[in-house]
Amino acid sequence: MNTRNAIILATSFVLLSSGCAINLKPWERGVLAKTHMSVEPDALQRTIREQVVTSKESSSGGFSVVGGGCGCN
Amino acid sequence: MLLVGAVAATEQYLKSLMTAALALPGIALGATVLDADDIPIVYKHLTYEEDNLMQVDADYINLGIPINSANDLLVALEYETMSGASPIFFTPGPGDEIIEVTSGASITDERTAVSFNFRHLTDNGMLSITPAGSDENDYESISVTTEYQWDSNNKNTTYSVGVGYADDTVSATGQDLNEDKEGKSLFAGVTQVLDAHSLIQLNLSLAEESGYLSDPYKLTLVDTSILSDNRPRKREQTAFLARYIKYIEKDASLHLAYRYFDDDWGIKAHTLETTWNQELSNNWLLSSNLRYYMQDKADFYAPFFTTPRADGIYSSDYRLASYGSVLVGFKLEKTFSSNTSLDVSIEYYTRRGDLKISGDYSTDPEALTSTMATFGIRHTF
Repeated sequence: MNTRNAIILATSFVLLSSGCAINLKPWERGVLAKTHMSVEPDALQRTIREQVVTSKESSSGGFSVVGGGCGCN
Repeated sequence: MLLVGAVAATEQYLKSLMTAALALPGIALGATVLDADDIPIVYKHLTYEEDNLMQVDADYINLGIPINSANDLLVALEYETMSGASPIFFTPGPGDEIIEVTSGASITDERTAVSFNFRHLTDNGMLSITPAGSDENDYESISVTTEYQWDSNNKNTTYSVGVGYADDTVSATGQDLNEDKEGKSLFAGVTQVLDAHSLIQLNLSLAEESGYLSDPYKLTLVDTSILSDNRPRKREQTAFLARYIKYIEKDASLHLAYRYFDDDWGIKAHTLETTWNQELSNNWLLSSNLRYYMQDKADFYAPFFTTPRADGIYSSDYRLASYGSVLVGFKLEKTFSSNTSLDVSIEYYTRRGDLKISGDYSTDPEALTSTMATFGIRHTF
């Protein structure tokens, strides 16, 4: 990773962990609890997709996919 | 035809195996394990077909097993069969034409993979460890990943860190080859609730592969000689992913993702993905997907070489070329009750040199197009 990437990344993390100190109460989270609002609504579908595209392309990583995958919850 | 039947599906799956083995679990907001009386099981079937080349059929089973209030186990099983033909190298044709030489259509392989994800709840987070293994005729992989995620700020922020290790063995049908390949990876991510309707996630992953990273079934034309694919024995990769998820009135959500990738082989790649999920009446859900991808070629890629390279490193594997790709997909899901749902999906994929929208692109004699269809069922006992 070059220096520029490192700086962008570090800045993003700091902004996220300090600047956005939002504090939703549990009863305000109804919408966020919907399945299609989760970061990965269908983890197994993601695993399959990444398997297909990474067999045709030369980059990977970043997506939160388990080895073998699991969409159990 | 050269190497008829020898280009096994490793050609296609070598990299995905490595990737899957090294990938780390994702971040969900608020760590939980399965309730004692919930045993979820998910089955999916995949049919993947390339025009004129490979065909893959795969079955996936994911099973969740509650252990107690602080521990559970997620098991993932996979079995796939592959058959078809695969490109081997390029040769110059008349004029500027480039001719692709492919293997015969008699390639077959099968792959079995399993992983066990043990999860343990801590005071405000979760620790997970995932041993995994996979086996096919010409490739074996053993890996383990460990991840710790923790919540803060009343579960409005979730952090995750992880580390992975993979020990793979590469062989090749019809060749006397037995080589090792090792992978190490690091992962860090943060997920932040922005407001009652949106959240954002930032992930960084670093990976280092070493050992035999060439493709034993690929060849390259150097002047008048046909040589083996010969890549560097080390590769360092960085991927940065940003995702944004927003609820849209009424009953819809928009998912946006951007990934930047670069490695020390000279490949830089951009991936942009957008998904629209729309709830319909009677518990139907329609998801529409659009993905754009482009990459710059590896330093040592060319369709063929007119002069030898001083370092003897060559590859004419088109996956290392400069190109773009587009994927369009749809998924329809029907939930029957709180514990059963069915889904079907179809995705169309095209990879082509001139789909790269900025910078130079590599000449490709033929675009790759493929179709991927899945059927899935989810049930909680």
